[in-house]
Amino acid sequence: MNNESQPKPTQAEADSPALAQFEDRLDRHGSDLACWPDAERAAAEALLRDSPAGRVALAQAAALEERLAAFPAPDPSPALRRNLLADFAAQRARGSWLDALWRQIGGIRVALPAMATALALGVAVGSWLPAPASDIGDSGNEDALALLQYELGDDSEW
Amino acid sequence: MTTAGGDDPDLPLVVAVGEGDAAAAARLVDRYASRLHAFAWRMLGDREEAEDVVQESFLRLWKHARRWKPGVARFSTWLFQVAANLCRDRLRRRREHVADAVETLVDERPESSEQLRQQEHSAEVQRAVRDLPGRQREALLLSHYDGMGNLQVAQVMGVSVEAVESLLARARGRLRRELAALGAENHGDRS
Repeated sequence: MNNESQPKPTQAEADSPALAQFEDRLDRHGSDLACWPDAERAAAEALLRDSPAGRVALAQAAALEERLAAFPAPDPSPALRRNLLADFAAQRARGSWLDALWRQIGGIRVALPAMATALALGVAVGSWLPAPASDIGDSGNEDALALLQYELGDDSEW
Repeated sequence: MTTAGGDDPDLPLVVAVGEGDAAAAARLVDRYASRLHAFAWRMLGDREEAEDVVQESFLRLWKHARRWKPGVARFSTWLFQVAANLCRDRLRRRREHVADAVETLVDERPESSEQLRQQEHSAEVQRAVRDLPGRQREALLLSHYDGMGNLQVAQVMGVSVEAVESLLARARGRLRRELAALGAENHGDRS
């Protein structure tokens, strides 16, 4: 981070709240003022006109960003592209198979009446059948519950 | 930038993919696979895992493209959101510090002392970025390396813009201190 060409800021300037705020904004928005919100950019440009310390801070922020460029990423393997497109083809084939089946069974025009008929049949059969007789009364349920609790034990974790 | 799909440059391609257009699928792969891979590699430090993340992200796209709702989110935001979630899941599963088991990209045979010095600098930067706390690293990668604005970073990460700005401020402050300290150290070593 070479800032030797910049004039040195005075101590009073370095301590100013406006400069501290500018440095905070630099960390939040980065050194490219074009990416800053309009109101903050206008204030920053005004500060930069009069403040050597502000210009030093801007240069330091830009230098950090330049340094971060030294984090190159490797290229993906050539197989990745092939695999992605093979996945797409497989997904498309699966989708078209389901579409074909749906069309074959007649689509929504057949499916809706079929569902309505199945529902009506279910209700009719349900109302026609006698209610199931149970030989386990309330006391039977209580016995079964007591037996279950006995088998589980009185474990507080449960 | 808005979240409306009307100004989403990828929307026609996503719609075409939903209709089974292989050429559109190839164009989206060419547009995003490398970027997504770079992001996942910087997050995870492992090439194979990064490729798995890319493949899984695109698989979700192939499955959901038919039901894509324009206007809810930009396609690129959604795709990075998926990849970021997959990376976070993998980091969580590792249960160890990412910097302990990551690749560093270096030229194995530097030809000059200048190249060697650049390689050292690069390794320092990679370590410093990878040592950042997870959310700070994620915000920095999306903002700096993927060139997203703070609003889009916030959408990808599912947090407010103010939270992203705070993460970026802490990340940049920490990197500046650490890299300056390393620079001073190296300078001291040489003198």
